[in-house]
Amino acid sequence: MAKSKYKTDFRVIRDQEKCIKCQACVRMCSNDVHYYDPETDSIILQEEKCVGCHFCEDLCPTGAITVKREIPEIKFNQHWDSKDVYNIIKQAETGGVLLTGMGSDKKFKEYFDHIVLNASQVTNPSIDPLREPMELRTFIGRKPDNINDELPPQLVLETPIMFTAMSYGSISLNAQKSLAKAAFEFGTMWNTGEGGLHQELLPYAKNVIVQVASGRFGVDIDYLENAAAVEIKIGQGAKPGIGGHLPGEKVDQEISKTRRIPIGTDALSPAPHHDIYSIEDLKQLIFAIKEATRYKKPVGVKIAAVHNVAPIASGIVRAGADFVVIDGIRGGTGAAPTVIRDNVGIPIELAVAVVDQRLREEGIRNQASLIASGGFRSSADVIKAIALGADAVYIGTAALISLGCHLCQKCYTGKCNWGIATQDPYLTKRLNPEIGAKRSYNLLRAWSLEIKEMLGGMGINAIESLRGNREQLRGVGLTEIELKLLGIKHAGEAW
Amino acid sequence: MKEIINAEGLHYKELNEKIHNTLLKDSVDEIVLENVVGQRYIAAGLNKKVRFIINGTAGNDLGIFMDGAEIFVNGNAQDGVGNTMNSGKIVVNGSAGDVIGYGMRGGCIYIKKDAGYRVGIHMKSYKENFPVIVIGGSAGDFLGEYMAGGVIIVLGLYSDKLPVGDFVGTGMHGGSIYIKRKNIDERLLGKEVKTKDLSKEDMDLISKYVGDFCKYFSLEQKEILNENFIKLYPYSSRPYGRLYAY
Amino acid sequence: MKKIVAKEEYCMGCRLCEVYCATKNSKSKDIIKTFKSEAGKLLSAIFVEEKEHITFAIQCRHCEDAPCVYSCLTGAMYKTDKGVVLHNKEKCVGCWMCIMVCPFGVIKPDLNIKKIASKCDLCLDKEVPACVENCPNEALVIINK
Repeated sequence: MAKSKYKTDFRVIRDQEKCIKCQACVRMCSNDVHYYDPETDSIILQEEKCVGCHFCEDLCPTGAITVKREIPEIKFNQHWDSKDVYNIIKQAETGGVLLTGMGSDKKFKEYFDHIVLNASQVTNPSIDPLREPMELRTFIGRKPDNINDELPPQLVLETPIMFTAMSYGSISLNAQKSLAKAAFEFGTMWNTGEGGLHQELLPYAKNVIVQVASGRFGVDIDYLENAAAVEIKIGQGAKPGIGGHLPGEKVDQEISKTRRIPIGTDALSPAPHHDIYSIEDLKQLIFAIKEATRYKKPVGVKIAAVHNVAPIASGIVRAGADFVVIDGIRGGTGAAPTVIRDNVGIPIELAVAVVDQRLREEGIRNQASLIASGGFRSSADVIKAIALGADAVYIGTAALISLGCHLCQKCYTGKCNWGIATQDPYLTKRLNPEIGAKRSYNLLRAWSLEIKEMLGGMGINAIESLRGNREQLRGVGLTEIELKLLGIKHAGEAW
Repeated sequence: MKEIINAEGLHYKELNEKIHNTLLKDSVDEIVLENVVGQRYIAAGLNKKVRFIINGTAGNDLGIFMDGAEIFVNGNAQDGVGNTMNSGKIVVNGSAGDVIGYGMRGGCIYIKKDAGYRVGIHMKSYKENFPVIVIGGSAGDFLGEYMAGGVIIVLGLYSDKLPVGDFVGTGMHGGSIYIKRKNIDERLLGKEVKTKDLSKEDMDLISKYVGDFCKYFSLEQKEILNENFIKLYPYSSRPYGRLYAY
Repeated sequence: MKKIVAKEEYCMGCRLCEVYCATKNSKSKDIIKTFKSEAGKLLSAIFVEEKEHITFAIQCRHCEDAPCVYSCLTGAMYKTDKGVVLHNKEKCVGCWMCIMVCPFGVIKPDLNIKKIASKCDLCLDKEVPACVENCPNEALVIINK
């Protein structure tokens, strides 16, 4: 049987009228899609290597290149997608687990797109954010039961949006530097992920949440002391239940030094923390960290949104966590098995709603802040998540898109043309942290301004008043059980 | 200067508070804790070069995130001894529980008698930061799981049975495990691990750490070192290289 | 006097600075026309040096005591009172001594009309030099000395 040639996903179209053969595309493509043939004085394409990152398209000085999707087509079939067919072919050839990057791209109901916001009309006035102060300041941490009790340590955010955990190893130091600088300047937090805290990022430590994951990479007492808060990672939305995996290609000298593993070996984070086999063990680790840092900073826990997320979150709050991060099925990653990324977990909208509801019912909602994450695409998603019960949100994919990512989902190859998901020095140079910091700062600024506009439209002048305020939301085209789980009415129903 | 703290009737939070307040005095270089009955997190995150003498049973997560202190336990220790420890020394004159030295990054742990499951998981080393665990008795299943660096030595001094359990070194991709026996059943080993005989460097390494071990527990070094040891090592740094379709 | 400084840690080696400089120095000043019809007559005053992953762009440094000015036979190479080293095409006779003495190798032969030399003129007729303006990664910056 002849071996099947895995065909192209993308067509690269070169407008010969515009192409000046400057060869910038030839030099820059890390996948060697373009190459120059001096004999014929022309630039030839190897389209099957194109991953659709659009770097050449954006770089071309005359705009001569267009990258278009072309998934090889099979006969029209409602059940079998072309992608399914070609995935099986790939597995037949390699016998391996299909890997992918970024967040789930499967067709699940987008609950955010079925939720609409309120606006003030007549009964209470709108507030104009350009003329009146709007409070977006958010406090993350345990709130006391009584107003006279001492306040436990809090994180102060100038906007309810933070940069999520993306480890040094999965992304480049320049990418981390961009986000760290932007978070520092805007007054919000960024997260180290499980790859440790590189010393060049220490100037931004005032705004860092450090992660203690099962591999315990880079975790020592200085790491914990430098941080503003500590996050114990139990799971993430892209790959609930399995551990982290950084392919050996991406473990170079610097990664080896920061994570303390031999160069070229795969950096494996085991699935569970091997000292956490029950909720009591989690409580033990939370208090071990609190003891080690003398109760001076919030210690929280990050879990993936799974079926029983509500009682699990309740247990975590009772175990002493000061904040709980819930990562939905759309959460991104540098590398995960495709089947897990696309099929494991639940959407964040439902998870946030049920967790918030459950904690309120148990009377412990004040004991931990709730942070939602998992594929927020716009400030509208953010504001809806807050109205469903989150105190703040983490953005990951959106932050990387602001740095140049075009969601080609090939992060695990370490050949990211944008210099984001790679350690190759040829590629990481391309991400200038000064430009990256400006762009991600702009993203925070743009979304914060939009949130203010939407709040003003609702007649609310502080984000706190929107928190868990389900009355400001209505569902459109949702079933009764969905409305019940989200805790919102259907559009058309009044008070 | 030495300080004595009586742990009787104290919750771990109070005990650790007392320890920290005592350590605020620069002159204190040794603390003796009396009547310890399983209080947790003693010396958690401690990065001062002080010495602790613990009389009693040390509770869970003894010396977690520790960086440089020395702890001597006259009694048993529980789970999580030296969890994510960066440097320093923990000597337990008794047995210890599970998950010893999880994610350990440097320093030494000496256990006179037995240890539990999952000892030395994901130990890591980088250049001269090198963690070492020496166990005088036996260790349970999953010894050295996911090990990425450092050394584990299991002596099995108190019984003729094999001093390790199932799944030894499963997922190992760095470091070495030495067991004081002539041979070991291959079925017990993780699939990333192979055995080999010791070289002179290996023997020198073991002599050093076994020497320290004997010093702490007043045992005869010569007797222990006269028998065969086997070495377990990861034969592939990329045991999962063929697992994924790129 | 403004000075162009290369930041080698951000230079990608795309050589777009060379493209835009050549365009700016061309007759048509249009990027497509320059490369299609004036091919073979392209003159960039900036050059990307490359070794493995280290790349950066270099052009005339407008040296304080410029060897090219000193060795110019006709005075075509001259220093303005602001410190910029400029080249007068009319006076140039194409002896190319300047090319030989330049320690940076940033002066090049120009055979398009008559035999002369050519180098960076800091785009004095523009607000921002073409290379700085168009570097996609801000690896070229202007500083005022």
